[in-house]
Amino acid sequence: MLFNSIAYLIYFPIVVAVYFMTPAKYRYIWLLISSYYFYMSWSPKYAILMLFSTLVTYLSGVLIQRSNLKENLKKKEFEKKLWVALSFTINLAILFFFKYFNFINESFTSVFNHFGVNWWVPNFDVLLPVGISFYTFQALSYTMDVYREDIKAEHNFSKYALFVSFFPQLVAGPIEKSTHLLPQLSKHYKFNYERMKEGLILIGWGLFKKIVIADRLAAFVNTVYNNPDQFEGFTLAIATVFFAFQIYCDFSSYSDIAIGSAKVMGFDLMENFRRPYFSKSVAEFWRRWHISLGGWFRDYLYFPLGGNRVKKIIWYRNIMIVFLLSGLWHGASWNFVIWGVLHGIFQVLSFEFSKFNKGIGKFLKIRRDSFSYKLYHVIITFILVDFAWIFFRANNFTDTKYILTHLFKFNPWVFFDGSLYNIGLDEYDFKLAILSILFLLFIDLVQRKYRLSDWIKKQHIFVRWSTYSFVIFFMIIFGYYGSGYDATQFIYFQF
Amino acid sequence: MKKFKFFKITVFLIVVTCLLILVSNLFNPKSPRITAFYEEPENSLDVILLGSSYMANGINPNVLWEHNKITSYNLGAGSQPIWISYFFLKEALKYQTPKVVVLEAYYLHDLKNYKKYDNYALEATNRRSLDQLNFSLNKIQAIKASVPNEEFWDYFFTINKYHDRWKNLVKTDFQFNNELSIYKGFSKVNRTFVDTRIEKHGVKTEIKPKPLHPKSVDYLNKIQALCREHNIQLVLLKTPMSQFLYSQDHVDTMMAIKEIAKKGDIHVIDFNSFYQKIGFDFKKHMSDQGGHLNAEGTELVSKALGDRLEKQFFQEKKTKNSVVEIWNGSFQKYKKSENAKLALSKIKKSKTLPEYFSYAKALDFLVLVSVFDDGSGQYRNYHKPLTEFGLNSDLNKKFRWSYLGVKNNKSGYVKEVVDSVAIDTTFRIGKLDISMLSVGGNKAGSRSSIKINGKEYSKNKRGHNFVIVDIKDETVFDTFNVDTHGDNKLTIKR
Repeated sequence: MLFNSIAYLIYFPIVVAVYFMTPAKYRYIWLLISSYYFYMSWSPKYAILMLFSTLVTYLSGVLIQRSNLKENLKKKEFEKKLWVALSFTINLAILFFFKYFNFINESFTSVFNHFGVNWWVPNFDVLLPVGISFYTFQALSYTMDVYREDIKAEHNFSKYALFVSFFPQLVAGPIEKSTHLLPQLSKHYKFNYERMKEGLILIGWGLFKKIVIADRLAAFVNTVYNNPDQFEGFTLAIATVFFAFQIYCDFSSYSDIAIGSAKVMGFDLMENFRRPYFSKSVAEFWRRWHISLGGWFRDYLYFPLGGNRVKKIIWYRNIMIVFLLSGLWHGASWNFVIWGVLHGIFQVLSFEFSKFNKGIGKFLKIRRDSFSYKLYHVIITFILVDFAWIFFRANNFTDTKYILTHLFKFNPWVFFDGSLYNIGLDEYDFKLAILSILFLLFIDLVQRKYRLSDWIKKQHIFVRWSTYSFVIFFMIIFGYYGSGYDATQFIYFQF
Repeated sequence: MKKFKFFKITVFLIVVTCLLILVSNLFNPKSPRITAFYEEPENSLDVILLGSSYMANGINPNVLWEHNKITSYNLGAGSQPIWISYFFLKEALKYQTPKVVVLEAYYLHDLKNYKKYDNYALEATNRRSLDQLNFSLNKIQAIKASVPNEEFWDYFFTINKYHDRWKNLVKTDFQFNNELSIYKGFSKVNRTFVDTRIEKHGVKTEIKPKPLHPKSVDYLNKIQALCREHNIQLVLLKTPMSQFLYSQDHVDTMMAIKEIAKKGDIHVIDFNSFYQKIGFDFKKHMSDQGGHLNAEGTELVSKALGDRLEKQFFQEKKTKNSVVEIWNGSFQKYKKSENAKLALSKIKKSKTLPEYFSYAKALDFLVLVSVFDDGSGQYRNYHKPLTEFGLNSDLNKKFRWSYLGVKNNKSGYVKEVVDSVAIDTTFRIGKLDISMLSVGGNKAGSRSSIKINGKEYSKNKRGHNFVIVDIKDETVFDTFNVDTHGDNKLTIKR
């Protein structure tokens, strides 16, 4: 089920209520049942797949732990590595099969066809299991952590299964590290009113971003990006800027609801987004955007490759590998690969030119701590990131090419002739979309110094309740959801 | 402390729920025709009328009251399936103890639409009926029976459907209370369709009963059981519809309906089998080819239904005095409203002043008269329509005098000024600033002026200049002139 559904609105309070009524010893079992129910509401058969991944990584943990007891160092290392390799191979093979087989098959087909060789292997007609990329990475982090002896293997299978399937973050993160989440599953959290309130506020804010902002922007973005050849210039630019905010709201709202839901029950999930569009460089953007995935790649790929403590050329290679794979992780298509590579290139170039930039700054005597200098960097970073989003969002190469060649047409009249109000959103909705983006930026800006939930907590009960009700009803009325009211459908009188 | 916190949460949830109900009501498109049913005094109705549009614009409760003193309410709604009629009846029985329930039988038919939508009606049809029910267990059951499971919440939380109306909210959306309806659910159609299809296709005779829609029959049985439980006589009604004479399909359907009724001790009134006896004519009394009655058709059919119901079920009927009083009052308003509607449809077609005023009497108008070069004093009959309308018009036997007349039809207010010199007057009604001037021509020049909010509306021509203001929406409804020199027919000139 989706977070922004009536089903979750009913499911979540029931899960929480039963959770706190169950004796602490057995709560993980209740959460495990709830999590599998949550996952199976999409497609029951894929739960078997998740269970299999869980089993493999569980066994890898137990076996690595056992190998640790071996006295023969060489044998110990060999066995440990074997179990890690097996766990990674099996899990990545499943991921590969479900996510990348068709992509690679098609790519091969086109390459071979290009050289006149007939290559034809049928595509597998499978739906991508929900959240497979997320839980596979989370499960693999466990294998690695046990191997590195950062954590002891979990022998309670149910508890471990809960770590992989914990419903708040199961399908779209944050991707938790075993060292952070697994110990929490054994803790006993008492019901805490204040904590619950904080969690609910976070859920509310997440829902607001999803229902009011992301889904409204999506109507415009989808109209443009599904038929880009009907638009040009500023319309394409607006759709691209809208998409930057759509994907931010969409993704961060999911994390917020996940973190909020877990918080209500006492669990602490890691922060996943920290005002990414206020970053002053692309590298900083990646420390603020999808932090948990960045952390995963850093800990399990970038550092093992040597990180930046190597020769410059190797360092740049490492960056490129990480972002290429990060691109692929986001989706099995060349668009995502290019998107990842682009982010890699942005960073390599910025490192390469950093000395030069500093030199110019010194020469021109630019004060690096001035507001305008920072703003300039924020804007440049946003433009680069947003430019890369074109590759992320465009449906195919032909569209991407069209957008890139028609993006810079100068057509300022679209701002005045009302044509912007016919692209998925009417005038009211379009203006509301702009206002809501400004509101989002305002709240993000405020949150740099103050936590919104702290502010609310300090207010008089009347102000608090009014704020809560206002947000709830603002979402209900101005949210972009439902089948929509078409007056003509009701005017017509079918006898 | 903990208990207090839970108390707080509960109170907050109650507040939010109340607000949600309020907001949902605000956004729901209003259909007072049905919801005004809730305003009817409890246990005051003798008959509940149920069914589709054939019922909604087929039977007029005011005709039943006028001729038979039967109190009724028409709960018919466009395309309403039998299962929704069942839940409407259940809803009605919470507030009323009718003796008879009349159900229009058309939608027992095996309809193509239902087949298409897996035995459900179209969304617009469902919305028209379900969204008008007050929230209750009955409504929940009605939704469950009427829409597929995946759409349930969409009807439960109507805000899900209508929240998008924030762009189009109007004043009436903020009026939450219904007034007692004077039309009692009935809605009239005024056009005429000349139905000659019987002559063209001939009259068919019954061959073999055509199966009815199983879900409809199922709910007919439920309606029957409910009626039995409450000691109510169920009547199945088929309004006149030429299809039921010339189409074999429909004839056989009616045959099946009659069979079901016979088995279940249900009274059937099929107008198609005796329409000629009541003077019904398909060429005069239909409004469209879909089989809906026009204004005269509905009058005839309602009267015939009333007579039959009275004869069969209401021989010794005693209506409470309080109810009689309410219905008499409501009937007066209905008559007045009907007269006004009739007058409004005809007034602009009037050619002469007497005809015009005969309609104007029934309408809430402000009539303003200003004279220019008057010659009416020579002829007595010029003043007759004015005096009949309530203006004295003291220009009799005078020549070229000035005259200003004001008559407010709604409040009865009259003001007239007659003089041989130029006269003027200014006053204010609602948001309208009115200034009038008349120079009759006796002493100095000739002029007529009627200004409303600074704008001139007088025709400023020889004779009587009229400006008619609709008081309800404070707009100028009409402006014309009647020449009083030699035109003894008093023709209206615009």
